[in-house]
Amino acid sequence: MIYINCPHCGERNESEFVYGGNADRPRPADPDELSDAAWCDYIYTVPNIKGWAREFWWHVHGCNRWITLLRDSRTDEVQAVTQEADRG
Amino acid sequence: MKYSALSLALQGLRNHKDWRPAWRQAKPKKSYDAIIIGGGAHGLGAAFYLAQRHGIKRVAVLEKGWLGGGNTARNTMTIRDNFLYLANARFHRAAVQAWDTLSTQLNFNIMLSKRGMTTVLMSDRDLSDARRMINTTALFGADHRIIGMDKLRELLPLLADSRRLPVVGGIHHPDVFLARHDAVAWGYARAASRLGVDIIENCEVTGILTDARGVTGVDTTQGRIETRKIGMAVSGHSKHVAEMAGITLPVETVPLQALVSTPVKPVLDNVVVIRGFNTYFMQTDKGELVMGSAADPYPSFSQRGTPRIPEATIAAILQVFPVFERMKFMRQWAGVLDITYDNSPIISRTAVDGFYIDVAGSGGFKTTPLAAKMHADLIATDRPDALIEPYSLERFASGRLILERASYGNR
Repeated sequence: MIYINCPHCGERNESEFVYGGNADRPRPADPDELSDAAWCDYIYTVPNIKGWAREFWWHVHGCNRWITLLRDSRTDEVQAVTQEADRG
Repeated sequence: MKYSALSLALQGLRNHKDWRPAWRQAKPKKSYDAIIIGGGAHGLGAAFYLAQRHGIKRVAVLEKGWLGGGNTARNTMTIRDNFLYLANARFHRAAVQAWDTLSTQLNFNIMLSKRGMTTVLMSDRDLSDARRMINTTALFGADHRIIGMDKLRELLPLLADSRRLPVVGGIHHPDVFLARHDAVAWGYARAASRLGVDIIENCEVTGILTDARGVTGVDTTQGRIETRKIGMAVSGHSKHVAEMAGITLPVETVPLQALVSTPVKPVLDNVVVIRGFNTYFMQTDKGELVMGSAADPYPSFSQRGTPRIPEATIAAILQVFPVFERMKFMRQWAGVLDITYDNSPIISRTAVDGFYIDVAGSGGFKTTPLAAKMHADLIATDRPDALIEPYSLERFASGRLILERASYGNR
């Protein structure tokens, strides 16, 4: 079980959270300006990083806020949990 | 040595002293006509079919660990074809049929065992969903039928009454098989090796070399090897190996867990699916119950998985089979799936000439003989068979997705 140190609720089980995707993958500012290939790439090509990556998680069975954390996908170790205001 | 009752008897008379290793341990040569990256069942199968069907015998299989030690060792052995979309239904139907003669073809007993699959339905929603699925798959020739409680109890005598979620009926699907997963890798390795294929373990590919005409070779931990054709079958690492050739794959790597109990006497012949919980289990030839359910809720390469999946799996099974309440849980593991956006495989050419890929999509054991054959045909002829045309890498750009939901590795 991964433990996630929620900035609001303290250390909680990962089962209280929902994974919300890679956090370093901003939605293109103007999709209309994007080529089909670039849009297709944004939709289907997830970063799928083997190693440390910044991720969004949603504390759905807790404070209901979005947080970001660093997780190593090789070991599932979690570090540096911060609040992510943008995702409300 | 051909395996037969006669060879077994003769070996018996000699105290079994003359058995030879089933395949040669090879050292890499300077160049090959084709290289397969990944020594699992899909990769070994592709190498075998290259040699057998196309006479391409200067083939090497490069495996970074040991043979069949990845997802081939981690799947739950089930061969089924209950898929909803035309391309998948056709492909998996043909794949199930391809298993039929495999033991004879390889001269290696893969222990194919016809079990049938019985799905337990626990709500009206399950039942209407099942009707839709059966009517769809019937169009493709799959043999599924809705069964009432009497037939369900006959097939699954251990089924109990669930108070909370009463069982309302079931689906029976006779054409579901189990095969000994390791034997599939071993059988292909032995048959390929006998045809001259070099199987090279502990040989990790560290780079893929290309020029203007396509691939030219690979760098490995055992040195550089030249080739004009590469087939990749490395599910769990597809993205990172393809990246070496400059190809970006639309896959996400997610653990799919399974767990197993201590062995007991035979109590269950069917593969049981508990529809509402997306959980399945069966009893192996050794007597263990093997169980599993949905893929993990987040991507990971850890090959471990989150404990909430085994918990939910056990809870679901005990809901309708409380008889297993005191079974001892023996071990749990996870394979790593390279899940595509539409949960369907990619068996395709790529933008780099001579670089071909076989990505299982979501659980590829069931398709092994067909996927390997089609992959080999693609490597040999550069033309995809009609069965795998829908699985091209271009489908993501063209929008021809095959949004399959009947698969367990879905998200």
